[in-house]
Order: sequence, then C-alpha cells, then structure tokens
Amino acid sequence: MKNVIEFKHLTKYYNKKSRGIIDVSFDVREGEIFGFIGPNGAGKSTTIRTLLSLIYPTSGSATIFGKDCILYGHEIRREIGYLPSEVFYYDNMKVLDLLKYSASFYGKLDMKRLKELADIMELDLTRKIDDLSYGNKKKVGIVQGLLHNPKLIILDEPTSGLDPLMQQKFFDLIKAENAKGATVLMSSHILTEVQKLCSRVAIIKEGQIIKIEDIQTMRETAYKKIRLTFADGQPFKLAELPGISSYEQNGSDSTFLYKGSVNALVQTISGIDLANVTIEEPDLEEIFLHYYKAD
Amino acid sequence: MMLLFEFRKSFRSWLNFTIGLLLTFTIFASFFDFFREDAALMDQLLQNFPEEFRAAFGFANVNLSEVEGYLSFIISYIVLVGAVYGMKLGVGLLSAEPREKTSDFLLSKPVRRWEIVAAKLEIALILLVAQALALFTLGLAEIKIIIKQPIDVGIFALLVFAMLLVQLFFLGIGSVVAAAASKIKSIMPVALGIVFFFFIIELVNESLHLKELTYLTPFAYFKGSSILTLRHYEWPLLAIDLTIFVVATGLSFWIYQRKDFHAV
Repeated sequence: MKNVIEFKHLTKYYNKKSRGIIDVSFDVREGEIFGFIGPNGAGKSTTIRTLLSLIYPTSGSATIFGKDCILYGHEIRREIGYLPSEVFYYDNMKVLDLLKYSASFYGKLDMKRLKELADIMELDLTRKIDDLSYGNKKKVGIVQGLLHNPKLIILDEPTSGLDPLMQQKFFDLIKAENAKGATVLMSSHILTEVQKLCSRVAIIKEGQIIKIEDIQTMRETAYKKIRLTFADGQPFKLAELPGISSYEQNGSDSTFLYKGSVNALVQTISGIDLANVTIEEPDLEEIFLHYYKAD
Repeated sequence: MMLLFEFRKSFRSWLNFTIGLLLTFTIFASFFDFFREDAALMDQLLQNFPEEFRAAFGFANVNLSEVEGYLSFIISYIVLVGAVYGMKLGVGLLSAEPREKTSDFLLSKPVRRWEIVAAKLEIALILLVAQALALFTLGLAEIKIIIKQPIDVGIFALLVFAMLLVQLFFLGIGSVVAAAASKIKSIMPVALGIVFFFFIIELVNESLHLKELTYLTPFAYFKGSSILTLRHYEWPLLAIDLTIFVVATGLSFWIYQRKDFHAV
C-alpha cells in the first residue's frame, strides 16, 4: 500500500528553548484513517501545521503524495482538506459567500455537494459568520474542508465545540469520505473518538513519537480489566498467577488488570465459586496512561 | 477571486479616505479668496512668525496669494493625509491574516505565498492610483468652480501625483513592517506613528536646513516650492523614492515567504 504522508525526522524548534516537535517519523498509508494522539501541547498541531507549510521545519522533511510538502505546498494543498483546531473566518461574510470564496481556490464550485454537506451538518448558509456560535463555525470549517472532495483530509482536534449528535454525524461523514477513497489524518486528545474511527495511531508525548500501533494490536496486547465477585463472600488470593497487576480487593469483589493467556486465567478461576465475572477491554485512555507511565 | 475579495475588503476605507482628502481640498480651496484679497495683510501676519516656523509649515518659499503657490501649500497637507492612508494600506494588508486569525484559512489553500502578497500589493496600487486620479480630476473641477483662476494642469498633476509617490514610499515601508511583525493588533497607531516620525524629520529638515535629512524623509522629496520652480520633480529624489518602494516591497515578499504562521 502506498504511503500518502511520510514524516522524515521532522523537527521544529520555535526558538532555542521552545520545543515544537523532535525527530517525528511515521507514515500514513493510502486509504486509512490515522489517529494522532497526545495531550495538549505535545506537538500535534505543530506537526500538522508543518505538513501544510504554515510553519517551516527546523530540520527533517515531510512528503505528501510523494512530494515535498514545502517545495510543492501549493500543488499538494489542492488535494488536502484541512480543519484547524480553532476556526476563524472573515466575520462580516455570509456562510455561503465564505464557502464560495473558499471553493474559488480549487476551481469549479459544486453547489450540489455544498448543499449536501450543509444539510448533513445542519448548517444555515444564509447567516453571517459573526453571528455563529463556535460549534456552528466548526461546521463551516468541516464543510469548507470537504467541499472540494480532497484526497487527504487533515483534522486537528475536529470535534471540539460539536455536540455528541453532531460529532456522530461528522464521524459518519468522515467514514463515508474514507470509504470513497480519502485518506484521513486526525489529531485528538480524546481517545474514544480515535478509537471509534482510526485503524492506526501514533502517540506523541512532549514532541516525540513514543508509539505507532494498530488499534487492534494495541487492544490485543494490552491489559484486560477483570472483576470477580466471590459467591461465598470470601476473598480469594489470585496474585500468584503471572500477569496480574493492580490487584484490589473490596469486600467480596476483586478487580485487577491481567496480561497473558486467557486460558490460564480461566483455568485458575474455574476452581473458585463465583457469583459474577466481567472481563472488559480497557479503553484507550487506560492503555494510553499505561504507555505514558511506562516511559 | 482573491483580488476581488481583497478589493472589497479595502474599498470602504479607501472611500472614506478619498472623501476625506477631497473635503480637505475643498475647504482649503474655499479659503483662497481670503488669502488673495488680503495678501498684504497675510504677508504681514506671517512675517510675525519666526522664519523656521514658516519654513516648517510650508509658508516660506511660496506666494500664497497666487493660485499655484496656494495649491502647493494645500497639497503639502493633502500629502500628509495621503501618506497616512498609504501606510495604513501597507501595514493593514499583509498583517490582515494574523490579526483576523484567518491565516489557517488562506494559507492552507492551494495558493503560493508570493501570490498572496502580489494580490494584496496589486490592490494597494490600484487603490492608490485611483485615489490620485480622483483627487486630480475632482480637484481640477473644484479649482474651476471655487478658485476660478487659470492654472497649469501639468503643475497641478505634478503636485497631486507627488502624493502618490509619497504613498508608494509608505506602502513599501508598511508592507515590510506588516510582513516582519508576527501580529499587529491595531493598524492606525502603527501607521500614524511611522508617518509622523517621517513628518517630524521633515519639519526639522525645513527649519534647520540640514541637507542630509532631505534624503531620509519622503516629505522632502516632492516639495511644492521645488515643483513650482523646476516645473518637474527632482530626479535623484524621485529615484530614491521609487528605489525604496521597490526594495521594500521586494523585502516584504521575501519575509512573507519565510514566515511562520502560528496557531491562534
């Protein structure tokens, strides 16, 4: 599978002391939805802004569709739809005029698609930008980002300001674009939304990539959350089984994290009289914390 | 489309300044009869001021009771207002995106940065030339109606287009300032500050007759008294003015190209 984006040792220092990103290298493959996660200030926006040549790297490079993102920036951007984390537009323009102006940079305006996108996002085209709430401005951003059928969609913290219902519609829209062939790079600090959409993720911490993994593998190799309720109310010591950690006993309940063979676990607990057992997938939040702690 | 968009954004302010310039011109023009009829009285009055003062404010080498002399006196103030507008355009256009937080919108579009600068400067040139032409044609009409004296159209053109040349100087300086600054929150204080800085140099130049200062301020490049005597611009000063404009705009392209546009 071809790589749509390739980061090669991308480094950005804003000045000698202020670190942006350090030696960021990863690839985004054609047709995937790639998640880029990390806490605020980790360097997600810096990476994305360098990719769009809004800022210039201190060293290293990045290519999109095989072309250097700085040298061929204007060509590449024709195929990119970008939704910034904070959306600001010309306040005294009407939504429709702004979208038309935006479309003018890409050639022909497809009114049918504009109407479709506006309908999906429930965006009123006749209102002035200045009168819109933040969430509604975000919707303008989404429509203007997708209007020209981009081959690469770059979303920087896309869901902030959208209510849960709108978030769902937006995710469906992104999935539909992805199904039509668009590659998606999406940054977020909210892990559940990455979990919902992405097939692979890169985790960034303090400007450096600390892990790149399939969401699937991430879950499989990760801990499981297990809660046992003992029928006789008596505590039972499981701690001798290898792979158990964070063991907590609360009355007749035991909760712990387990990493290892599920069969071994089932065999061990089969001899115990249990009232209940739950085995949960940990959410990304917990996996994420684990990566951060391990470092 | 980008051109049209920038034009629409700048048009209202252009209209305000152009009307302002015309009003200033009209008010001054309507005082001409007073100056002409009481020329002797006026002369006497002005003699009471120290020579440096008269020089600084443009009364020294021109005869205010003659129409050309009077016009050159008016134009020196028109040039000042025009210079503020030129500076405002220069500072305003290239600092618009960071100020209005629309950098992400414009710079993520498939457009080269130099195309953005070129479009903005093109609009600035169109607006400034249009302003000079408006002042020239309507000014001529006003002279005919209000002053009712024959004048040399060529000299009037030289006087009015001196404003355009000074504006080009400030457009260039303003563009460099805007390109170099990471963010300019409010344009007018910056524009007024820089224009008055150069105007004060000119006041000092006029009253102290320091030849070196002449080269430092565009207000000294195209002086009414010199235009009336020579019947053309002083070529070396014209060359300096245009060189500064070309170098400054070139520099603003260079800086804008290399600039980081930070998240808001």
